[in-house]
Amino acid sequence: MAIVELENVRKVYTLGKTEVHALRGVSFSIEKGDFASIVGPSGSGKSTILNLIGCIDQPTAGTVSINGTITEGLKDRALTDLRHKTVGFIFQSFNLIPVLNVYENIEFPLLLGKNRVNKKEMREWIEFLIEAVGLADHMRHKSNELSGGQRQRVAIARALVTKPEIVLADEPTANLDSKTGQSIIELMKKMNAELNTTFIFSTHDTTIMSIADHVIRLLDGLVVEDTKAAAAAGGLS
Amino acid sequence: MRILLTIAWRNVRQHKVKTTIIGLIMVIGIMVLVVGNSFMDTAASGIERYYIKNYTGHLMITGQSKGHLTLFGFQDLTAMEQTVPRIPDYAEIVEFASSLPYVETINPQVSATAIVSRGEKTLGATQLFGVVPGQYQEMFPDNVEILEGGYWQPGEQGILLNKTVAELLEKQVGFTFRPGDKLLFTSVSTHTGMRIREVEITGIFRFKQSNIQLDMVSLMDVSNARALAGMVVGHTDPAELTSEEQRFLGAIDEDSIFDSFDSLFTDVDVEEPAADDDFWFSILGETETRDLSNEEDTGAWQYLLVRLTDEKYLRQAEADFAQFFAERGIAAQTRNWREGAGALAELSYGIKSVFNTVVFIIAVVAVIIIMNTLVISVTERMSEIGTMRAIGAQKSFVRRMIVLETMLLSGISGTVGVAAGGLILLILNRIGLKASNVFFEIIYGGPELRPMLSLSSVILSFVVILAVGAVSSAYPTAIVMKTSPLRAMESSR
Repeated sequence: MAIVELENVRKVYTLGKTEVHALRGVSFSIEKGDFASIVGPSGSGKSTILNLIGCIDQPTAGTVSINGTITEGLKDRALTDLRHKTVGFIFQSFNLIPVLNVYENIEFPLLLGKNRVNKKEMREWIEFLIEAVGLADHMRHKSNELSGGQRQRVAIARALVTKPEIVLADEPTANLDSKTGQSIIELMKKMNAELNTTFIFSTHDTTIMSIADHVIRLLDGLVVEDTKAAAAAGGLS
Repeated sequence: MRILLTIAWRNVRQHKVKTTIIGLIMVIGIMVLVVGNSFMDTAASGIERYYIKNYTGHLMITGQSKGHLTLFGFQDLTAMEQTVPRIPDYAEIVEFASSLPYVETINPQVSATAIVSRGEKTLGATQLFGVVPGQYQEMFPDNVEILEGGYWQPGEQGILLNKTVAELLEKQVGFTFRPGDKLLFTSVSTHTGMRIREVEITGIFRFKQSNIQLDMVSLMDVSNARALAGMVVGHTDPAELTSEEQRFLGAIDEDSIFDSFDSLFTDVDVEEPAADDDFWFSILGETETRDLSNEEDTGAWQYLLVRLTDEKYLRQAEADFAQFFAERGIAAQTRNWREGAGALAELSYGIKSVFNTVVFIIAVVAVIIIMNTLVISVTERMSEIGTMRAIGAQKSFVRRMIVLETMLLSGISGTVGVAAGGLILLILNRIGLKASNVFFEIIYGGPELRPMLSLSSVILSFVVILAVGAVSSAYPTAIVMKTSPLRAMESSR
């Protein structure tokens, strides 16, 4: 079952008098539970695709379908709602809320929804995630008291806290050393396996992309390779 | 809401520079507002108490007229066009006022301005209140301090000369006025011509609570005051003529009176009296019979001052009197104490308006500074706000967050400002502010002011601070609302 579908998507940005064709007709689909990697050089359109899947941008042409919902024509409130319920984000620079501690940062998305959450269940779920990302000892630490790898672990837990169908990660290891980056990808893979959450991440790190079970390669705004594998051999150590 | 408060509070604490700049502006602004307004409120309430208690009462009933009528007469350009009207149907009004349970006491008055002279020397001008001593004392029992002599006796004439006026006059003539001395009062009006009255000083007094306006007021018997005010005195009852008198009048042939103008211009020999002062004074003094006939309650009053048992009945009293006047077709009206008090009270309130204008300007400047600081602060947090939007925060959440932060900062600063202002007021209250000159005496409503923290100034301060907070955060919020979650992604790269 396709959780993400892009059909002949085009995206044109206007920079002054110049038109930049970021995507020139991209079509692909990602199945639920995929650990998908979008790869390509800078300017190939990786981030544009993540923005479109994350409902924070709209295509110039074509359709983007997220969990069966076509994003075209949705108003800001509906798009925000869709993001909140369906998509989790992991940013390159972690983007934690500086005034909140680890627990509060992870809790934050849960407090944005309209649905009342059982406080006990919520606390247990957050603590489970904190445990899962290995930060049980840092629960009350603020982001400036954490290392880059720890911050990205918080971001992963935050992305998963609403139990989204999809987690988008924009070059999640770019600001980390290779060892930490590897551990983060392994953590994402682990969560993907345990929670059956679809992970879509952009990268140009060949080591990391090898762990993915679905690789979409872009070049100049076009899909040049769309490979699905049963499992990435040797991806997990 | 909890998370909003948490974020707001921690941001206020974390962004120390912003918090300090905005906080200081607000603290100082609120402190000025609290101190200034409490100061003005204390002065205003002092002025109000002092005027109501000492010389206006709560309400002033007058004949209907346009223009700014005060106890001192018209204090605008209409003074040139009209005289102070007498109260029509005075007896009826008094009867009605006396029947109202919330009316404590009433006092009729006449007001006149006269030039004072002694012999041929003009000494200056003075304000006169024509009163009935007993009623005036009952209305304002605590404010008249007799320094020498006393009021004139019932049925007699006289003036209770204000000590300040006496001293001014004494400087001119070089000797001390004492009870028994006489002064000549002259009033001039385009409507009633010149009136001259010689009046004996029966006493010297001072108003215990006074100001430069009241210092010029002396109390005079109503008969002389009416004359100087240009009022028509005397009864208006139709004369009952005997049949003999009617027959006599009927026998007069009008033609025989006017058939020859010669009789009008016939030269007559007149024995010139010695036209010295004593002569004129003796003639003017021989008015006792007429004056007795004008003794109070002839209806010739300009003002009826009303003191209520409690100020809370003021609106009711105004309404009741208005209804009474309308029902009976009486051309009278009520005016409140402030109108009656005249220019000085108005000046005090005018100064408060000026102060409020200054406060408004300060508030506008504060809004601009705070707004700029908030814009910088918000711009620095675009990535954070974009992240919130990306992970599911609606625009309304972000708007509430910014407004709450500003309000929290405003609330804390406002509280600190009110506390600081309260402390300053406490110190000023202990010390007491002495009026060093007339200007301050007007503002203070007396020679000394002990300002007190007023509830209204605290409420006003919080209203202002919250308004400043709300207005200041409007533009930064508008910027935030336009922030796309894309910013989070862009700033992340």
